[in-house]
This record gives sequence, structure tokens and C-alpha cells, in this order.
Amino acid sequence: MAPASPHDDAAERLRHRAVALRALARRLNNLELHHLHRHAGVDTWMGPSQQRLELDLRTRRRALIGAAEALQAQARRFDREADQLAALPAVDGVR
Amino acid sequence: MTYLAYRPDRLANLAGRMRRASDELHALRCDDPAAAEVMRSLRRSADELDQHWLPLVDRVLRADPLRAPTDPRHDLAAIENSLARMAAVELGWAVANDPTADDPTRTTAAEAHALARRLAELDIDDVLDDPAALEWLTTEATAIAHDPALAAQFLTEFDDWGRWGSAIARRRAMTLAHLDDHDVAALDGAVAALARVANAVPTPRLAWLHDMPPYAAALFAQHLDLPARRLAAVYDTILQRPSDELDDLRGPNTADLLLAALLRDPAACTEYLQLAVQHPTTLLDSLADPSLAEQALRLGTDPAYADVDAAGRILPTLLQFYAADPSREPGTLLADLVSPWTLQFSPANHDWEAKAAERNRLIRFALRGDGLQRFIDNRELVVASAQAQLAARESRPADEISGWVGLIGELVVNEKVRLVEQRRKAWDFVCNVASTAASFARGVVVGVVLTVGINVIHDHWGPRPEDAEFTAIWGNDAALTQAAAMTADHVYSVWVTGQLLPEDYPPPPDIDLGAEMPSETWMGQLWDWWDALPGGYDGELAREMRLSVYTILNPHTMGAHTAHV
Repeated sequence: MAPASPHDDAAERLRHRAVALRALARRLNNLELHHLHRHAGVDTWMGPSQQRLELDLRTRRRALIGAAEALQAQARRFDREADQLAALPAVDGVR
Repeated sequence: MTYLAYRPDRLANLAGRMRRASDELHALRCDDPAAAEVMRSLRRSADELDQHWLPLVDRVLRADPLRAPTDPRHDLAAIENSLARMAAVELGWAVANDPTADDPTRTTAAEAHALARRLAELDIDDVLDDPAALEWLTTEATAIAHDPALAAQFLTEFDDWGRWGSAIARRRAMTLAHLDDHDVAALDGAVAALARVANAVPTPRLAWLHDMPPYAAALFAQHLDLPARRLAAVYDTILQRPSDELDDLRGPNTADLLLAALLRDPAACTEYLQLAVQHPTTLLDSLADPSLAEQALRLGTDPAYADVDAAGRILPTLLQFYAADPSREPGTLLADLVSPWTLQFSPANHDWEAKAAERNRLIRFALRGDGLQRFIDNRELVVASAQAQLAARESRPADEISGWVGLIGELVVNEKVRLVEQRRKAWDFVCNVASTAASFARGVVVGVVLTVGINVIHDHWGPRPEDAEFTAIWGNDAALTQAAAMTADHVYSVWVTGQLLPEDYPPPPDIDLGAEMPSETWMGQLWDWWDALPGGYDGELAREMRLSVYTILNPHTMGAHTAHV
């Protein structure tokens, strides 16, 4: 059995990182924070604090969505880099 | 607003969800450096929930809510607590002080909505009798007016304009008539604020103005910020309504209010006059202060604000109205109004619809009596206005300009002006008109007209500052020479512009009004000037100018007019 290539190790690490980022992105998409603004509207309470909280929650929700998308994009980049490394020739013709 | 209205069960549910959200955020883990920024952002969200929002919601839930409507700590009947009242009484919610309200003047959509509902059920006198409540209403309405979303919320619910408008208007009018005693400035402030709320949405509907008597409608309408044409239509509609009892009280009436507002908005004033001349009595006969109508007419027909078309829709109709009613005495107003628009009364002008004969009749009507004197006093305005209009045009038909000069000459000599000083002014006037015309039309055409116009004026009353020393002979001679000199100047300027002469070439001689016979002196100097022209006396240039100048003044006519006199 041929020894593992250093490229293979690096590619494997990148794939692990991509998996971790995707897992985090999935968790972000399922947080309760996504839904809080629906329970903080004028059906629940009215006043200056209500307006501020609802605005704050909507802002954080948008940030959460942006963060999850950024994590997914980074994961895709890691996967691409891993594929490129795996396609490189083995050192000293091992592969 | 400084309090919160809430449903305790739902707020408790929100608190529970916020705790769960915080726990979830704290439980998230990811050591990858690529997620570091995201993790920091998530921790900030968790901190904000833990340290700010959850304690706030918990504090509200733990607090003893203000009980409606009998709670002595909170007067829910007060206008400023409209939202609390609506929440507590109508919805059965709890009400508590807002622990984070740092700006008591901040208005929420819910509050705008609640205020509108409350205004419909309040006893207006209770509010108007309470200076603090009236001030609060003004402040609140001002805040709502600044935010179209809040205004829309308010207007969705408020439909009690007639009652509020009538009540405020009555107090104001009665106070100004010394029949009551209220703070007019405070009432006006409330009116302005409420009117601006109505005006704050993108396409304001103004049907509510019809729910008010005219005086009240005028009070509100003067604060509307609308395009000039629409505002004018609103004002015109109000002024056509029958007056109400408040108009009969001492002090400014409906028309005074609106005309005063128009004087602050020249574009709307011009638009309004175009509507008002169709029924001029609403403008002229409704005012407690008739001078406002004159001011509006002067402003709205001022060329600074009115274009030719607008003036054409106003002035002929207005003049016809006055001409048809001998009982009206406009004094010198009409002379002032026509002064900036004399070009449009020229026979060959077609800017306005009225025919030449009718326009001639109307301007003569405007200048009857003291109007002529005033017209002569306005001579600088007449000339400057015509000059500005001519300069702005692409084409300047010679017959129109000639007709204008002739018209002014005829108008000015149409009546006997006895005073020597006035004769001098008339002389200056026609000369200035002629000079202006000469700068826009070809010399010959103008020269011919000048011959007619200026001769006419001097046949009647030549420039004789000292009657004994100046004779009609001198007057005619000076007039003809002046016309010829202006024609020569015009031809000369055409040559310079066309580079037939260099820019620094000396101009034709000036007329010497101190000479015993100005034509002889001037003509002698002109011959010398022709001799010096390129080509000399018999050259092309001298011959061209002779064709123009001799049409007006030549050795033969010089002798003729002297012999005639």
C-alpha cells in the first residue's frame, strides 16, 4: 500500500473544516433567535422598549442569516481547495 | 410615551423564548478560525439578550401593573395616555412604566393609532381648556407629522376633523373678536400640527376640509404643503363656499387667512389668481382687509413668478371684470398690473388669446384717470420688463416691437399731461422705449415708428422744462434727431458685430440737446463721421447708413418740419 501523500493530509484537513463550518451553519439556521421577533410584536406588548427590541431582533436575525451563508461559502471554498490538492501529483512519484 | 402596555401571558412566553435563544447561543461551539468572527457575533447577541433584554422583560413582568382606569398612579383619561387607556380599557392589557424610555417624546405607531381613536371620543373642550393637554396634543401631532408611517396610522383611525376644526376655529375667532379669551398661538399650533399630519402621507386626501366650516378649513388649509396648483385649487374651493358666522366677527376672516397665506407662496398665488378671475368677487369682495387682494394681484402677476401664459389668463379677464362694473374703482392698481406686460398689448403680439382691439381697449381702461400718471411713473418697470421678455425670446418680430413702441407713444400722449415734470417723464419714457426697441429690431423699422411716436408726443407737449425758452420747433427737431441717432447707433453696432468695423472704431456722434437746432448740429457731425468711414462718404457703409438715417431725418425733412411748424 502506497504511503499517504502530504497533499492527501492537507486535503483531508480542509474537508474536516468544511464539515465543521457546515454543521455550525445548520445550527445557526435552526436557532430560536430566528423566530423571536415574531413573539415580540405589538400583539404582545406596546411601547418604546417593544419597538427597540423588535428592531434589534430583526437586525440580529438578518445577521444570523448572513453568518450562516458566509460559513457555507467558506465550506465550499475549503472543499474546492481540498479537491485541487488531491489532484496534485504525489511527491517522488509515489502515486 | 413612557410606559408599556402588554399582555402578561404573551410577554412571559417571549421571556421564555429569549432564555432558550440565549442558551442555544451559549451552547454553540466551533474552534475553526474561519468561524471566529461569526462566533464573536453570536456571543454579542447572547450578551445583549442576557444583560439587557431579558432583565427588562423580567422587570416588566415582576412589576405591579398600573390598573386601569381607576389607578390613581395613572390618569388614563388624560389625552397623553391614550395608548395606555386603549390597551388597558379596550384590550384588557396590563400597563407599566417603561423602564428604558429615555425619550418621552418618542411616538410609536401604536400610540399614533390610539391617539386618533381617543380624539374621536374626547370632549374637545376638556382638551382646549387644558393648556398642558393642548400643548401635548400639538407636540404629539408634530411628532406624528414628521413620520409618514405614524401619520398613516393616525389617519387610518381619525375621522373627526369637522368637530375638532369647528371647535378650535370658533375659539380662535371669538378670541380675536374679543368675545372670548384663549391662547390663539396655542390654538394655531395645534391646527398647524394636525394639518401637517394630514399632509404627511404621500398622497394626502383632503375631503375632510369639507367637513369644516370655511373659516376652520382655511385655518387648516394654510398649513398644507401641497404643489402650488393643488393648493390654489383647495383655497379657491374654500373661498367659493358661502361664508359662515365666524367670518362676520371682527378680525381676519376666511379670505384674509388664505390670501395672507398666498402672499407667502408666490407660485400658489399665481395659480390661485388664474382660478379666481373666473369668479373675481370671491377674491375682491370677501376680505375684511381689502388690501390683501391688491397685494395678491401684484404678487401673482409679477413676472418674477407669473409666466406670459399665466398673466394672460389673469389680466385680460380681470380688466374685463373691472371694465364691466363702473362702480368699482381700482385706482392705480390696474396701471401697476399691466406695466410689466405692455408687450402683450402690442397689436401684433399673439401671446394672449384676446384680440388686438380688445387688448387695446383694456389697456386704455387700465390707464384711465390717475392710471396714466402711474403708468408714466412705472416707466422703468415697463421698459425693463419688455427688455427682459425680448431678450429671452428666440424670435422678435419687428412689427410686434414697432407696434409696442407705437402703443406706448399713443398711450402716453392719449391724455393731456399738464405738469412740466410729467411731460419730461413722458419724454424719457418714450425715448427709453424706443431705445429698447432699437436694440432688438432693425433700425429702419424702429426709426419709422419713432418718427411717428416721438413726433406725436412732441406735437402735444415737447420737452420744455422752461416753457418760455423751448418751443415746439425745438421739440420736434430734437425728437427726430434722437430717433435718427438711435438708428445710426443701431446700424453702427451691427457693423461692429459683423466685423465690418473694428471694435474700437468711434461710434456715430451723440445728439446735443443743448444745441439751438439739434438736427443741424448732429447731421453736420454725422456727415463728417461718414467721410471718415472706410470707403468715405460714397462708400458702401456710408450709403447703407444713409438709407436708414435719411428715412427719418434728412436735409429735406429737416427743412420741411421746420417750415411746417
